[in-house]
Amino acid sequence: MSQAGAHLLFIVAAYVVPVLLLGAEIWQLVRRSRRQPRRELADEA
Amino acid sequence: MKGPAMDGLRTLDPALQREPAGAPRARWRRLASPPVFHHWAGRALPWFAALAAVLAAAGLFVGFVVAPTDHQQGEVYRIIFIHVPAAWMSMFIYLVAALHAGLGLVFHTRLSPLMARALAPTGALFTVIALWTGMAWGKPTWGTWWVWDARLTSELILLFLYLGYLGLVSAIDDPRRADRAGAILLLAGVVNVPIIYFSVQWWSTLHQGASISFTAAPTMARTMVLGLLLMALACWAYSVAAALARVRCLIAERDALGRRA
Amino acid sequence: MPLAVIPIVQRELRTAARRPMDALGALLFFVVVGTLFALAAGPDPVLLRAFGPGVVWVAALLSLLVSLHRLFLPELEDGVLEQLLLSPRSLLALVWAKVAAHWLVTCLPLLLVAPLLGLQFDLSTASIAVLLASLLLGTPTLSLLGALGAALTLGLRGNALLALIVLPLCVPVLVFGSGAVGASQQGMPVGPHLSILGAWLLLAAVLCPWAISAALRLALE
Repeated sequence: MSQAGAHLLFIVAAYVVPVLLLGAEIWQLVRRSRRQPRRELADEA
Repeated sequence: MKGPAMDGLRTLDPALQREPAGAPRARWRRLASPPVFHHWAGRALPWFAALAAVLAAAGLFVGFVVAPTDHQQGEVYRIIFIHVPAAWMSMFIYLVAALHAGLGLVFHTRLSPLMARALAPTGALFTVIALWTGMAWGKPTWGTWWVWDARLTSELILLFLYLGYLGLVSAIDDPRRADRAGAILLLAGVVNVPIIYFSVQWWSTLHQGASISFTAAPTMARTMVLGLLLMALACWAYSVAAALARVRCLIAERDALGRRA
Repeated sequence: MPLAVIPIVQRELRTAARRPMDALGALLFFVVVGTLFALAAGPDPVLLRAFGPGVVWVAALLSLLVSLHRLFLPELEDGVLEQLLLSPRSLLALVWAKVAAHWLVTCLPLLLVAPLLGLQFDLSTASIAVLLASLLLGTPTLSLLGALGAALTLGLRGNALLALIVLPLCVPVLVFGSGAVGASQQGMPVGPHLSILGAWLLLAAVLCPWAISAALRLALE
C-alpha cells in the first residue's frame, strides 16, 4: 500500500470513530428523551 | 379533565409557574428554575443542533477542500481539524461544568448541578475523541501510536478526572448527595487541571531526545486556522445541544422521581 | 482548635497500635510492590536506577490508598459523625486529626523504609536523601487528597472508585516528587521541585479540610 493510501486510511479512521461516538451519544439522548412522558399530551388534557 | 392523575408534566409547564410574591424576577433569572429551563432548552435545542451541522459542514469543507496540503506532513495533518477542536472542547467543558458545580454549591440553585452532570459525558466523549485522533495522527506522522507528549498525557489525565466524576455520581443513589459530591470533586479537579498541565508540561521536556510536540505546528496557512475555528465552533454548538438535551432529560427524570416519592 | 485535635490523634494512634497489622499491611504492600517492579523489569542496575525513584513514589501512593476507604468509617458507624455536624469547628478538628493520624500511621513508616527500597534500586546516598525530602513534603498532600476521596465515597461499596477519584489528583505530587530525585541523580538542582511540592502542600492544607468537611456533611444527609 502506498504511503498516500496508508495516510488516507489513517484520516478515515481518525474521522470515523468520532462520528460513531457522537452518533451513539445522539442516539442515546434521543432514546432517553422519548422515554419522558410527553408534555404536549399533558397540555391537551 | 384536570386532576392529580393528569398532572403528568404540567408541573414542568412554565406557563403554570406562579411568580413568588413580590417583584417579578428578571426574565433571565426565571431560567434558573428547572421547569422554565426545560421549556427554553427544548426550544433552543434544534437551533444549536442545526448550527452545529452547518458549522461542521463548513469547517470540513474548508479543512479538506480549501486548505492546502502541508509540505511536511502531506494530507494526514487534516486530522487536526477534529483533534484540536475536540481537545479544546474537552478542557472547556470541564471548566464550564466546574463553574456550574461551584455556582450550585454556593447559591444552592437547583439547575446548576444538573448542568454539570449534563455536560460531563459530552466532555468525556470529546476527551476520548481527542486521544483517539491524536493517536491516529501520531502513528503516520511520527511512527508511534502513543507519544508521552504533554498535551496528550494531560488529555489522558483529564479523561481519568471525567471518569472519576461520572463514576462517583453514578455510584451514589441519593440524587442530592450525588450532585453535591460530584460538584466538590469537579472543583478539586479544576484546581488541579492547571497544575497537572504544568507538571506534565515540565515532565515531558525532561528528555531532550523527544522533540516531538503537538504544539510544533508550522506557521499555519490562514485557511487552516479558519477550518480549525469553524470546527471548534461546530463542536461548541454540538456540546451545547447535547447538554441541553441531557439536562432536559435530567429535569424530567428528577421531576418524576420527586413526585413518586 | 489545635487543642481539640491532639486527643483525637492520640486516640487514633492507640487504635492503630491495637491493630498493628493494618499499619504493617501498608508497609508490606510498599515493599512488595517495589520488589515486584524490580522483578518484572529485570536486574539491570542502570535500568533500576533510572526508574527507581518513580517506582518508590508509585508504591508509596498505592500503599496510601490501601487503607483509605476505611478512614471515616468508624465515625460513621458509631454515630460520632452526626454529633460533630452540629459544630463546624469540631468537624474540622476531626478532619485534621484523621488526616494527621493517617499520615503518622501509614506514611511515616513508609518514610523509614524508603531508604531501603532506594538501596534496592541502587540509588546514591544523596538521591536517597532527596527521596526522603520529597516524600516528607509530598505524602501529607497525598493524605489530604486521599481523605477527600474517602469522604466523598464514604459508605459506598467498592474501593476502585476511591482510587479512580484520588489518583489523577495526585499526579502533580507524583511528577514533582519523583522528578526531584531524578534531578538529583543527574546533578541538577532539586530546589524548584521541592518548593513546588511545598507550595502544593500549603494549597492542599488550606483547601482540602474545607472540602473534606463538606463531603462528610453530604455523606450524612
